[in-house]
Amino acid sequence: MRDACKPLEPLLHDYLEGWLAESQRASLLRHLQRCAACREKLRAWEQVGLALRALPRLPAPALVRAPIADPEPRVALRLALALCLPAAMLVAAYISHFQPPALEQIAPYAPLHTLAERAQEGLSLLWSWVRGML
Amino acid sequence: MQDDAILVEHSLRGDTRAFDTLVERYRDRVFSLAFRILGEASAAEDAMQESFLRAYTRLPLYDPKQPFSTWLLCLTARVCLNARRHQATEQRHLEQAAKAMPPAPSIEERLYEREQRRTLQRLLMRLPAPQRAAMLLYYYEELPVAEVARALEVPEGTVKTWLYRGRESLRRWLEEELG
Repeated sequence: MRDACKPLEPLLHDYLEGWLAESQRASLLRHLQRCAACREKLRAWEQVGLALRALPRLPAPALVRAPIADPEPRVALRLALALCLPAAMLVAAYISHFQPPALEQIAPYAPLHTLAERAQEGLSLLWSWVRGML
Repeated sequence: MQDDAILVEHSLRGDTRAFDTLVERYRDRVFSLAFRILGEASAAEDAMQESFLRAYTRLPLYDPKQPFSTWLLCLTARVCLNARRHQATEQRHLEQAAKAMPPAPSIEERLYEREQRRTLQRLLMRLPAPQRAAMLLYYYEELPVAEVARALEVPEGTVKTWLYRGRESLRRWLEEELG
């Protein structure tokens, strides 16, 4: 390419890519008819473009970490909440409406009654704790 | 095969399998582009991971009027350019670029072609990173200039200048190397 052609290079490239305005196209084509060096440059640029387009795709490495967390725990959590909430509400409703049965009614014998009284104290404590938690 | 737009829609509704399908569909393209920009396989793998992670977290910002592949590849180019800013030296990647190419085919006729591709990849690494990214997005990924400009956050005129200069540099270097 002659030095005189150097300023034309950006126009040549625009022509190659089809970006050149129609008004400039005709005069550039006239120049190309006369200038073998510019024609050669166009051909070489074309080759570079083709070589870049022909670069092969590379297979990504086989082990790709999942970019996001596994969805299963979230689903499991939702399911657990869905089941636990109604169950907790039922227990709360039961405790607030029904008192624990009097142990005398179910333990008629004295030794058992003594043991049952102690158990009742423990149970009452447990129930009041559960109620407090709810 | 499900349309990308549908998979994106499902992903946005929380269907992570839909996003996995997108990852599977584009991981070779994302990895290849990252490798061509960064010139090194392990850096390209990191960039691929980050690109998909970023794509996932920014999925609500994706505009369905644009092809998903364009959005993803532009995002990958930006990830690669950011990664390059954090790389310690250019030289390490220049040296590794040639070694990191995939294994050569055994057919003798392909050896010359493979060597040319290695040379091209090595010469690509000589270009300034944004210019290289523009070249690869335009020629390798065949994205329009407007998309390349948007991806690299520069005016379209700058992209056109980079493409011209990059192409001319490659032509000159190839002539010097290959005779």
